[in-house]
Amino acid sequence: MNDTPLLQVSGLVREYALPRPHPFAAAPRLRVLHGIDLAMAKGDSLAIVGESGSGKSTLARSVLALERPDAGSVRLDGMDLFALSRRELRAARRHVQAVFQDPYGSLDPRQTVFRIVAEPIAALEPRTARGERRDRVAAILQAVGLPAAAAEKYPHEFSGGQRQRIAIARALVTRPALVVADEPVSALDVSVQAQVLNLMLDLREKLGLAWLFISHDLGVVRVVTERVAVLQHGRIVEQGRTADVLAAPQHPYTQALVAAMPRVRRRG
Amino acid sequence: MMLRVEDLTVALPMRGQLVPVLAGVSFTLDRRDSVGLVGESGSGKSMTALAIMGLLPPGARVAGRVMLDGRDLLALPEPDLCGVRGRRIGMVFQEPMTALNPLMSIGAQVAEPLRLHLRLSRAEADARAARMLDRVGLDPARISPHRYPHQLSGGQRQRVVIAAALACGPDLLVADEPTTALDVTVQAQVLALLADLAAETGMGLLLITHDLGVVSQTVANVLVMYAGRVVEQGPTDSVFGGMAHPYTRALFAARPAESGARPVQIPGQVPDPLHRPPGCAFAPRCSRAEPDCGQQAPTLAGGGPHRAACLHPHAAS
Repeated sequence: MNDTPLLQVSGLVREYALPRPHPFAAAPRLRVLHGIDLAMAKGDSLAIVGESGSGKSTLARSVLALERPDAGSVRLDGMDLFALSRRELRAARRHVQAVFQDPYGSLDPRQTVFRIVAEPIAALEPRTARGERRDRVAAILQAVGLPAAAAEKYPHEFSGGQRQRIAIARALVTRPALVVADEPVSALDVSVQAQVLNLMLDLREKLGLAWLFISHDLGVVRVVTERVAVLQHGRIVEQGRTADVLAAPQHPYTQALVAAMPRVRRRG
Repeated sequence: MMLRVEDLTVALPMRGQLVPVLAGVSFTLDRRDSVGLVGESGSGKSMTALAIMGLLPPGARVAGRVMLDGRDLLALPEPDLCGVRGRRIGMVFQEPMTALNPLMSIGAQVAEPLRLHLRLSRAEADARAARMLDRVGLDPARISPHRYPHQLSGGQRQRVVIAAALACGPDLLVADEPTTALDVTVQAQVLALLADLAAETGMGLLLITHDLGVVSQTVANVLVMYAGRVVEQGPTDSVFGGMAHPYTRALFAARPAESGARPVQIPGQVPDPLHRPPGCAFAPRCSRAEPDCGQQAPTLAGGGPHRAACLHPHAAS
């Protein structure tokens, strides 16, 4: 039995420098994350919810080691991501991948789907043989519900939902243990959103993936995650099982978020 | 009746041919009334709003009638339309950043339509703009009318857009996804503000949204659109209480459920205007489709105000 959590975020602090009020003043600093602690086990699904400016995307970028925190640590399978050498970090990136909000902006329009999906293999596991690359791309395209012929096409030939499937395929091709998804369905139509959410649920069941799901949408969070942490002004103000938090929110901010969810009134 | 849209049909030039994007849209909207257009991308809901305001892209061909207090807007020349837009019809769009001029103070932007349409003096327009900004929740003592859009949050900017849209006291407000770019708590505030202002001024509200929850909480009547046609329309309570069209039900089931259960997917995708199937455009994705669905596009049927365009509708439950 391995007790090391898959992801352990401890005391994470991130500050940004603001413009100097005048040339000789020290730049004031804005603290966007005030000591965040989080843990995820293998196969977990955790949502970070909060509104614009709550720090949720900064947290996501720190977990992806795209931003270095001012204090605190991010451990993946026990390894401190910010204590690793460049080479070690590169190796670690195979295990944590990302899916972003905009399926139009996150795919290079000049590359075929095959190149897009194979890129993480080329970058992170360059010694993979060509045949294996092909097989793995084909397998992952199939797993996300795209036809094999998709590999030779370009992103503009696909709808928004299909593009998000391509982005998910790219994230999964290195067989990561953790996928950080930053608002992966908020740019999609309701029916397409349902397809992508179901795909995420299926992949978690099939591959034992852990999802760190960043969202402002509590309705979506309720469907795809088991646990939720509510972020406000860079602090986690409430966390727990998603069903419990949404049914009986304790913190006033969570209560306001739950109350503001648009609901369809159905009077018979 | 203030606004009467009759058999509105729009075709746009695509790949060298005129392709129908909107077919046979009809509805009415009175003062103190509210209508919601709901649908996914490509359903024609924004196209309907643009056609009403005479803002269709060049080359578009429009048929039908858009009667505003007895005058057909589709027959009006552009200079006359300019006197209608902003004066009789206020408009709020999704992106408050692009709707505002970054180089103009917010007070000046709210005052502009007053000077242009009502010919108020600068001082009068500025005073009235300050009152409008106060009314939409931007207290001039706290948020100066001399500020610029970039100094405001997204929700505050959308309030400025609403203040500018309502400055001339329009009879009709067209709001196209006014809260889609906003946080949920801000969205709730802006929707409540729109409803308050509509009740206070007696204007009609035409709300366009993809969100069934937003529509059910905000408007009295709803039109559900799919592939350029209205598939179901009626009083909001009646439509959501007894959804008759399979697409309305499918759209409802695709939303993240309150129970946290998996959303129910709609197979396939919305057909693009160049490849719409004959007959009912939803038939290829519909679980209730029969052979006759592919023959002829069904028209809105049913007695009373709640009607659905379906040959095999669900019985009201």
